[in-house]
Amino acid sequence: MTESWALRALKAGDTSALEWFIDRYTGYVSAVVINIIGSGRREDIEEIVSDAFFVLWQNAGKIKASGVKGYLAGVARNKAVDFLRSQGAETLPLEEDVLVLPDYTTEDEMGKACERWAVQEAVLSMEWPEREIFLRHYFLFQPVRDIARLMDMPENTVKTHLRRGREKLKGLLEKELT
Amino acid sequence: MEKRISELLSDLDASVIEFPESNVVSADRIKEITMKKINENKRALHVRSKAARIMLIAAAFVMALGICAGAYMGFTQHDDPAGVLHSFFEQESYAKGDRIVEYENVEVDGEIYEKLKTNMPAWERMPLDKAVAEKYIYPYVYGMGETMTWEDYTLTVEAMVYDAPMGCGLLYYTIENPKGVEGYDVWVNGEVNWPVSSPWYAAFLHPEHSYIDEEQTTDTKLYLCSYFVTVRDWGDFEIRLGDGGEFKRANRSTLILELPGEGMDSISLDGGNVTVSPIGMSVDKEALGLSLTNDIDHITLRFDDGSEYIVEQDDDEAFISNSAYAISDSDTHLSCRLFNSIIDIDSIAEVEIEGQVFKAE
Repeated sequence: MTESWALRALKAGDTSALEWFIDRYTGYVSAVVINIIGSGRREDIEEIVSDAFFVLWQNAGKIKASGVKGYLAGVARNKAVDFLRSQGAETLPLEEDVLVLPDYTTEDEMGKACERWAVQEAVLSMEWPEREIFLRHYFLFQPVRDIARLMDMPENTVKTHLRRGREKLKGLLEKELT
Repeated sequence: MEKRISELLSDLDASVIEFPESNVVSADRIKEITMKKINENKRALHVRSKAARIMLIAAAFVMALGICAGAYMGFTQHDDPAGVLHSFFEQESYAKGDRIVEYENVEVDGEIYEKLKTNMPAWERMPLDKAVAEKYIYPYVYGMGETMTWEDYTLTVEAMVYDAPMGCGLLYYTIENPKGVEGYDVWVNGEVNWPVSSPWYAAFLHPEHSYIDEEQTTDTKLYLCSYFVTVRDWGDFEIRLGDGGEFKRANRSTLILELPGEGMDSISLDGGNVTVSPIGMSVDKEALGLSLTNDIDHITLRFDDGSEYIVEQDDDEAFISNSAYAISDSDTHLSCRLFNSIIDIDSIAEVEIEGQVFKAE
């Protein structure tokens, strides 16, 4: 079964298609969750990972065939963050998380779509290791120190890549939305 | 203006990220938990206006007598069985003929041909043969009337069709809120669900699919049709109505329904391994030597007059699914499905399942 066929079957309410996706992506989704909440609480990880697949089941009608993996990762990430907050724990403080931008609107669907596109483009324009560092930090909330250790580079180098990534994102948002 | 980067990335198509996969949790365990959530989150449904008015009066009467929700009230035939069945089998699909037919280019001996890739019938609900329905179904269309409330929402069970031996049925529901019933989603096939962003939700503990009744639904009242399955013991037949915004969805009301114990006529093939009733069929996959991990791709009913009803076809030639709802239960190895039509079982000549043909006696 191909992914597009599995998604089609999923949209038709076929639970075996959901099981097919679970077989395929449990390892990946688990990795996303563990990156955010840690690997010490298996029951919590299982709960969040299954939540991601449950949301996939609920929203299958809205997902493109090529986007299931990314969709699952995004849902798992946001669920993991919600979980941390429900436990009274905040995500780690991020290196300069706030961008100051000229005003633009995202109140309508067009504005939201443009913003999503600009963010995606900015991330895609980053090359390795900048993209990985940027996503580890801002998507998975990994602290600079951990990223430096995992990627075997000085903390200042990590911070430099983060700054460049922020500049690219800011530049693209300003260009496309204001 | 200020924007948090971490929030901007929350909508990122995260497939751009590659990580080493983790084996901390098993896929089987995730399947188990996820399927349980799906069963818990099953939702509610519908009825025609005349039937709805009648049953709302009945519901109000029950409440006035102080009878608690879920109390056993016996089962009597609904006053308007044809009206109830109309919403399940006669309405156009929500997709309104958006039959999906797709082709892909294939090269054969240097020539490019179009090959059929997708032939999806938009989950049509078939025209109702009233004579067949009256013969097989009408006595089993029960009037209900149970109701429950959560905040401003009122969920009312209007009617039920249930085939106890087969373990499947149909349920009519309404969900009303004078302030509006926004928050639900309708998929292209008409199925209703409550996304995580919905401030409220309705759910069944048993497996089911619910479809919107477009003809009747308004901004303040949902009319819904549920196709449900009870092939094994999942406990009480419980419906929930509650706070959809809460992580665990624990803030809710519950309604437990009694199910009738009798069933409609059915035919039994291959010593009982295949059973076909007017509204659905069940197949013992283990007994037939079929895959226990995948559902059945090919089922066709053939009738005495030579016509046939393709229930499932999933192969290179076509993708046809005329099951309104189907499950393949991993415990009992039963594959159980509800049809999108009412079947004249006395006219069935044979049933073909994955190439195995079973003649009707």
